[in-house]
Amino acid sequence: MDLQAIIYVLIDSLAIGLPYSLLALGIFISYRTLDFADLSAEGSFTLGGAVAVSTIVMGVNPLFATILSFISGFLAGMFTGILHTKLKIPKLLSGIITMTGLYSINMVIMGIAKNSPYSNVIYVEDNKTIFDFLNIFEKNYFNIILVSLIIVIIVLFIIYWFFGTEIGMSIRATGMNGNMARAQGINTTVMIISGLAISNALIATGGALFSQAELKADINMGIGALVIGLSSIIIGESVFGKRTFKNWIISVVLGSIAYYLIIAIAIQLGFPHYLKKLLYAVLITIVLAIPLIKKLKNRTKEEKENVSN
Amino acid sequence: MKMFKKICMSLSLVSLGLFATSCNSNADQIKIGVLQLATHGALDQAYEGFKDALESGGFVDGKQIKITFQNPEGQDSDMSTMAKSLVRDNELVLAIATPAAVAVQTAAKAQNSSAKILFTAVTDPVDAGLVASNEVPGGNITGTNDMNPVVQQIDLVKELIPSIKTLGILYTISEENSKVQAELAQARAEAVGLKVIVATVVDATDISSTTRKLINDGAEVIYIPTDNNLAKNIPSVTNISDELKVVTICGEGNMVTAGGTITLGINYYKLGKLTGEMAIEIIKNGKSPATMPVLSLSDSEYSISINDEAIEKIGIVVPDSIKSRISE
Repeated sequence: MDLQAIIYVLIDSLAIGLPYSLLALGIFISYRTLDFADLSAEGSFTLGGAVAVSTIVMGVNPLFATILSFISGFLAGMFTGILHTKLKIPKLLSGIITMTGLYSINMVIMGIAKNSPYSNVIYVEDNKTIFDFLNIFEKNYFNIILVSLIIVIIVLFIIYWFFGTEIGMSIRATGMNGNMARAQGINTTVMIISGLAISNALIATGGALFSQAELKADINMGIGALVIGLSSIIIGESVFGKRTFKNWIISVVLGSIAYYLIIAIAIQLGFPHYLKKLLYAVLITIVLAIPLIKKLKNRTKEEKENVSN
Repeated sequence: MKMFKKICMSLSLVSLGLFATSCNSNADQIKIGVLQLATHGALDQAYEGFKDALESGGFVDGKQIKITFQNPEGQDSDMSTMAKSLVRDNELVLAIATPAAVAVQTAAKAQNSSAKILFTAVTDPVDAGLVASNEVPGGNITGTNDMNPVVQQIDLVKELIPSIKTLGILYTISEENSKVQAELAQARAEAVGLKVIVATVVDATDISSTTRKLINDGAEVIYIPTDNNLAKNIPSVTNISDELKVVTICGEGNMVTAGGTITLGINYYKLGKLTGEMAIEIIKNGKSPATMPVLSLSDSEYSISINDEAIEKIGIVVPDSIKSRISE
């Protein structure tokens, strides 16, 4: 294995990890700040891809198509929020209802561009994607990395700014202690609905970027999205820390890249394909154990110092 | 700053891990990558056929050629990473099934790669945007097509049970290939004067109840196209259809082995072999995929397979005209 292969492994994991980091950030908002395990993620990730590719095929500008994906995810999140707050449906079930309904909606959306009642896959074909805007590199995956990086940085800034405003703070307070937040005069219903809307909007944008990078949207692309997002968050937190809010959201993005780095390494190692999932599990365990190993090392160091004192 | 140090540390860990993996490839070997969508009877056979064709052409894995096999088990983002690394490291890449072919083509485009791409088990390469036309593919990609002989399959139903009036069609709603075949089957069945009932399933869990509903609605025979979900879960259909004495006619042989009643279908092993012969044309004779037409198996290579156990349970008599065409 040479240096070139290592560089390529890094490039591959950036080209997938960056679009997926928006998914991780979306799940971070629902799961960590709002304390809401939102299963609508699997539906809204596909929704974002379906809306983006369908509208691009119909001739919409790819940047605008990506914004439409953002809006569609926003609406999906609002729907989950309304189910939970207004109809008093438990959190998990609200997410499941949205996810289930979106399955059919996504098929219908992909069908529109094909003039068919429904479809389960749609290709970008020769249309331009958002990654063709900054066509500075000859090789397309560098453009994918650059454009995704710009979008992720903008999103990080907006999240950081937004969760410092009064509304953002109120959303975080609602997630930390709903009763206390209500006692402070925060309208927690509005906060849950808007938090979920933002979360799913980001997830849908992640889906839009991923499907434009892969040049297709597929009804099954959201399967496992929640697991990938949660793994990214937890890897990010344990390896890169969560001391401050800024540190925390950057960790989530890095965690997503690290997750795909792990996958890319596992693939490069060339294990038999039926053992690959086991290899993922082992590698993720190793990564998650890093902080513990570090702590142990620090402790032995301290003990040594104590002895020498 | 601390964060930066951590990133550097993790990167160096990664590099160490990669250095540790030794890669003992021979410079003279022709490198061939294979990306197979998922573990699946038909797709496995296509891969076997591909390897056997290469071997009988004098290209043995580990000697003249080195095959790298990847299988993402249907996971989209894994498939993308695998496609990228295969396109980068190999001179020729075989993609098995449509999503794999699209992933490999996308990866090659993104890298401006000159790797030659072959596909197999793709139903409609033009619709998937893989080739400009089946006759002149145009790009660096060509392969073999597994369009199911739907018309002949429906005709086989009429031959097996001449008195049939209502045909049920069952497929998975999320599978594009199945949808195409179901529409063809419906058109043919209506052309030969049958009433058609279409039913779709979403996943593995609603197959039994949908099958029961289809039969209650009056389906006398159930047609199942080459559907990945139903191929995996065919016993969920046949447990009910056999009991209710309804024949299932399937898209391909493996579904009959697993419980379906009868099929007239393409042989994926032969299809893979055909693809392997195309690979030899490319690596030995230096042909360009751009000018090699997409191939499919000829009519004479369709074979009928039958499930004797199911025939017995359902209690029908197979006419001699069909018996004589059964391939073992």
